[in-house]
Amino acid sequence: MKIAMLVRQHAALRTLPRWLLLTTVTSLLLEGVRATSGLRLARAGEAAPEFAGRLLAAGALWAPLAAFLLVTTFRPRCGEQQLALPLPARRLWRAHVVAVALAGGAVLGLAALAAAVHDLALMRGAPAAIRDGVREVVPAAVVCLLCAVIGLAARAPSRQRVQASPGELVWGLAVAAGAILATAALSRLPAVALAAPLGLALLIAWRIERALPEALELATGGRPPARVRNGARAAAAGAWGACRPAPARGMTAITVFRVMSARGSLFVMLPVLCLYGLLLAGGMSVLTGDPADRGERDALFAVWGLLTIFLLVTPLPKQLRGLHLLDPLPLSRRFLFGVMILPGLLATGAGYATGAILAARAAAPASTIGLEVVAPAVWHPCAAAFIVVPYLLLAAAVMRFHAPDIGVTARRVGVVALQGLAIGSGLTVLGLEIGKVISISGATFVLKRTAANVGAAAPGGAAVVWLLAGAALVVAYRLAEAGFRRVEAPPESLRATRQGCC
Amino acid sequence: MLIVVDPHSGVPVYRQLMDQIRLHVASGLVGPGDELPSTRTLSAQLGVNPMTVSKAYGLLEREQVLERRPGRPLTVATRDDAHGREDRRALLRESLVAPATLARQLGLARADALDLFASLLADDAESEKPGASPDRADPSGEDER
Amino acid sequence: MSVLEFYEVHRAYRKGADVLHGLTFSVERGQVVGLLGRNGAGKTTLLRVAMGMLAPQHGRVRVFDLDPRAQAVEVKRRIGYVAEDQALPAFLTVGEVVDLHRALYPTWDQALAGELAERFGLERREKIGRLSRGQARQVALLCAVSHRPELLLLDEPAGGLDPVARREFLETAIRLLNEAGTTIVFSSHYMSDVERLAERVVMIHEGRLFLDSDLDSLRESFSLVLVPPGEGVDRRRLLLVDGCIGVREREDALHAVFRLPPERARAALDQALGARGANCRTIALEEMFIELVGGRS
Repeated sequence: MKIAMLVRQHAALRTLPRWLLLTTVTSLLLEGVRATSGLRLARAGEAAPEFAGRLLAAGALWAPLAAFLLVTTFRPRCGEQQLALPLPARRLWRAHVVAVALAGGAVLGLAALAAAVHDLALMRGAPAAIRDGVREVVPAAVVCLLCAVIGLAARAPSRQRVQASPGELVWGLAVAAGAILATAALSRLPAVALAAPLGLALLIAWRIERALPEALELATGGRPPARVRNGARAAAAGAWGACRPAPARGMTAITVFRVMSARGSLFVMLPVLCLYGLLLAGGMSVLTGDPADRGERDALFAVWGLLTIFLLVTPLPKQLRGLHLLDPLPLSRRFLFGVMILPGLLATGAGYATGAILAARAAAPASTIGLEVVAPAVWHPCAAAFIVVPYLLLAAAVMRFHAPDIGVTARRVGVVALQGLAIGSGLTVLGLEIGKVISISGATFVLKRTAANVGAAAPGGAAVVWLLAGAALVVAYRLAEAGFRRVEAPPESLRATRQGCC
Repeated sequence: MLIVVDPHSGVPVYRQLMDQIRLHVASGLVGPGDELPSTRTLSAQLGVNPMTVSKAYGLLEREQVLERRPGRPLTVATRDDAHGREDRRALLRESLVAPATLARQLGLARADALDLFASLLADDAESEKPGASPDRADPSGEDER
Repeated sequence: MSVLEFYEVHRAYRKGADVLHGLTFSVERGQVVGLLGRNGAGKTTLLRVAMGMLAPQHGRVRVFDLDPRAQAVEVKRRIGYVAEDQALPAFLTVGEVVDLHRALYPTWDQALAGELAERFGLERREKIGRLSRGQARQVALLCAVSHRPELLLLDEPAGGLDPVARREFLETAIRLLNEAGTTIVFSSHYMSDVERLAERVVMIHEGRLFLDSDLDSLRESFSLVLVPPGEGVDRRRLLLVDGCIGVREREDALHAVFRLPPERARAALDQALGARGANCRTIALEEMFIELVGGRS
């Protein structure tokens, strides 16, 4: 089998599309942070330490890249099926390195592109040091990428996959951290000097490849799989006894949630939603100083839009895939819906609360901190609500189409957007009305900010009708049991990825 | 009860149960008045549907091989000598049908086949268990068509 | 009382290929029905439709006289379901899965669950992903059975299990039958399990109900006839003989399945074709299945 074919089949390239959106978003965000904080310092007349600046620039490129490398490509070197083929280990290893380098390069390229677009669009008037910050570290980043790829692949090269263990994790993080530092450090050197580390990395790779045995080995380290036991085992006595206390009521919801969110996406989703809330409340502006420049806010808003799409695309389909594990269980749709939505909403709410508190503490009048959007102020709460609850809405709409592989189609997104606008508006109206009634000191300043923006322009009659309709929809929205359909695909003889076992 | 169920033979399970219980009764492994295991027990033991067991028991009850007295579990019925002999003949006849057909297919002469059968009976005479009926199968034309 | 009822059920894939075609049958309380059919014949779809996991495009399904989709939660509380391709979440432990089921089913019997768990040798703290296939299936069976369901739906429950696990499975099902009179509908490729457990057999072929009969009368009223070719005996003429329902041509003989006991099949054959030298015998379920369904277009 030619290397090209092996490379094409490699998992790194297959999972690449999912990472592109995240890469763009993260890169834009971090670049925004770097640029605006540098800008703020420049306006204040201070000079940022150079190394810190380069480190941030390197970080803007490396954050998504490191996540990609560690999460996706570190572990599996080749598929188990490929071990059965008459392929020498060297070819497999080489294909692995090439594939990861290519995929990593794509991620790096995209991150650089996103940062470049950000700088080009928003930093035109900025001093050269800030504008060209990312461009300067790119060559070093490329070299360090290769070194990192080889470094990760050098760990137990003769194994088919790297076993998850603390040692491996430490190795991976060390390589990633080292790559970021090296990028920052090496970017000061002329391009020619980069040839040295590059050459070294290639040499090491060649040595490793030479030293590989004829065949890669399956990794089975760790505990041996449970052996079948006959008859009654001397298991912990009374472990299964009839007097075992019944499980607590809340445990069901937690277990169901764990089943629905396949492990990984849980850790991605909640922090992202928290960040969402933070951004919306204007907390971002606190972190970067006070962006007086409108362009900054537009950029941030664009980022939020992308984040919305990211949420629509990534965690929800995974959750829905997890739903089919729960098919035979007597769980009502409302319960499942609640379990799907609440953690996300709570995370967003927590982030929003935090952001609002931070913003309020920054001791500036409410009307200047926070987000003004290009659209008239009357739409501001609607737009905010639309971004706040897409998660809720796609779940609602899509639970009608529960399928093992759920895809995002234009129609579904359109349905979601419409519902979102309506329901979001309704929620906002409710919130505002409640806020007027309640005047707990904590809650008031959170709502005051939104109210201040709304009051900037009087809503027209159509807008009021729209808002009321949204409120009515919130109240009337129900999930019918019968509307829940499972879409069946023709049987496959071999499933490439399976959740669970059996 | 030493019953074995073969799910792969073409014979339905209930029929196998009936045949083997009849054999038990006819050969004296269970005597008149002996209790039979309950439907539940036997089905769990053999790994078969309890309905099958109760069907077999029901049919044997109808044939009066087993009997159920009020207040007592299922027991082996007492058969008088004539019925007992008939039962045993019937059992043997059933398993002689196949060799008879085979003999015809092979085109063996009747005398040949009968000689063969007689010699087999003679061989087993020494190893025959005492207590079982020593009735010889009638070598007249009654057992063959 | 009818526990499960299918009436003219149609179900197709989105692209238009029919999976179930006008399926009609019903199962009474306490019956044990074996579903037979080739892979892809529609057995899995049938069971999923019964569970309410799929909706038929046409026709009507009733479980305990309820609509399994409209009253999904109530129906599922009374059903136990084990499927071969059912995957339990790998990262949960056995204990967590069992507790989840315990919380969801009001009729859960913890004593039974504990007894089965000890018999199968399961440990609470073992992760599902680390169990062998047979043990994972046993966990699924334990969860399906411990709430003493009124109806047990099993989709190739013994697939891929070693013989000991298969026997344990069978014994557990029989125990349920004995203790609770549970209705069981199961599909299986292990004919010996079907012959032991089922009292009624339903054969599905290409989405259609092909055969629905009592197992004992099925075996008694069918026979396999092997006819040497020649003497003007061919497949077509055999099929025309009264009682013949299927003929397969093999290298050295024609295999015909008759809906008659062996002697009457022989008589019918003699009468119709005058063919001698035919071998008429009773037929085991597996052979019957192969003759009826194998090699059909």
